[in-house]
Amino acid sequence: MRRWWTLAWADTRFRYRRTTFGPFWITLSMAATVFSVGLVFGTLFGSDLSRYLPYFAVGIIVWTFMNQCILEGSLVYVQSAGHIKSTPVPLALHVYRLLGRQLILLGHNALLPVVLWLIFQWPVAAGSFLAVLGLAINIVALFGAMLAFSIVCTRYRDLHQIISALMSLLFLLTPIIWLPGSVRSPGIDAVAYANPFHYLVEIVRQPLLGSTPDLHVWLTATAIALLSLFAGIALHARFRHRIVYWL
Amino acid sequence: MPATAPVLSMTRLTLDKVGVDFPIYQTSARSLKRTALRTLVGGVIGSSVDTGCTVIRALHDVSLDLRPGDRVALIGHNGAGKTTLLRVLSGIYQPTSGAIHGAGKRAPLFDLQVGFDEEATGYECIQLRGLMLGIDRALIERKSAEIAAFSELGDYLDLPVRTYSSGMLLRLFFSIATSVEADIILMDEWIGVGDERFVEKANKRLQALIDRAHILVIASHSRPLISSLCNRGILLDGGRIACDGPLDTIFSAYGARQSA
Repeated sequence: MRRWWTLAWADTRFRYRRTTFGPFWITLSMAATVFSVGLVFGTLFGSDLSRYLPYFAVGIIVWTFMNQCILEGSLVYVQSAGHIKSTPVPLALHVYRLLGRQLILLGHNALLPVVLWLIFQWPVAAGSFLAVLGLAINIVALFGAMLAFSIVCTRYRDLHQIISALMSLLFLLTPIIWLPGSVRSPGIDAVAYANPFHYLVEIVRQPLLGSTPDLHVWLTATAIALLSLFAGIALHARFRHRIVYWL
Repeated sequence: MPATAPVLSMTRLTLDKVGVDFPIYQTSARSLKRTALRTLVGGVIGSSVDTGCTVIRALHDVSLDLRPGDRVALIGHNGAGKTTLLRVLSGIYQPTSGAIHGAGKRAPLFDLQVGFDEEATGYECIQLRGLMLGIDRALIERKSAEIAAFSELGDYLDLPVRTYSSGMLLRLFFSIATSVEADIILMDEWIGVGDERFVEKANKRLQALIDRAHILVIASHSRPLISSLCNRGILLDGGRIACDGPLDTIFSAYGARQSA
């Protein structure tokens, strides 16, 4: 299926068509967030900025990808209602197209860590390539979540509001601004380790920053991804023919 | 007499006791609160709580057999189920009961102007629409010139469609939709496009497309149109087929119902 990718690119191009920087506005606005929030909290925590900025940048970029996938994914059918009611295409095309769009955004944001590496040159090892595997697991998890949330949020329109409130709460409960172990409260750490997003961030962030996540982190993340994928596929298979009647 | 397509064709469309039920969720029923509360109270009280879900039976027990050469007019007053039936025939709605079997490429020619990006140029609309319709890219490229020529939009095709007038927009989408060859054509009323001269040109193109197709199903209220186009009529009433047969039978049945 190549067409979702073409459609995703077209969507991205159209969105930034009348701007000078085009899709690189994505990178620029992310850069603004990374440097402003990074500098403030890095200084506040008294961390070494050469370590804190890359840590925060990778974390926030992965988080933004996951957050957007879930929030936009939960509305994908509602927003494609016109298409769905007039053009008989497989429903999953709309999900693929959205995923494609988010991957394109992620790709633009991925330039930032490269720039940061050129500045700070932290040691990277062969293990850094595990980040690709980590990202693959992350994408599988998000794809499953999108399939699942798109359906339940079409049926129950309140859910999207609940989910967006929950996601901003989860952002604070996931070690992205703060480092695991840095908050001197066992409660906070316990929450972080019960938080699925934490694992999905770690498998990308740790390899990129030159360390290797523990095996249990990999296994937990993989389990989350498989669970999410199965739930998404099961819901999709069960309800895809009903969705058009819910729009 | 309307033209009939070659009879030696595999094209078929069969509905077997098809029903379509529309759940209409009131805001209260669609909300999670309502469902959660219903679960919480449960038991006796729960069963007395109104679910708030009205079901509209849009189609009921519809059985049809469409064969090559059929030029079918769907007749019935508003809300009789014509559009729903067209959507079932085009594969947009899956029947909630019964079954649909079909062979042949179907082209729904309704809601032509849906789902395009205002920032896309005319040419990009051609490509993206083609992609949505599942046409492969090489074919789109080849058709693109033909669509451009037919639409007569010229240099406008390089501009974003937000600069188009509504007439131009319709011309573009008509030209795209009618560039697709199909075995089964599904229409909700005739599509009239553009100014006086263009309308004639568009009518010819649409007629030629219909003549090449094996099956036509069109919902219409216009008797002259139906008479010139169709050889079979289906009268829908309250989501059921009230009458299926030659046009004159259908017209008199419809007339009798209206005067009754």
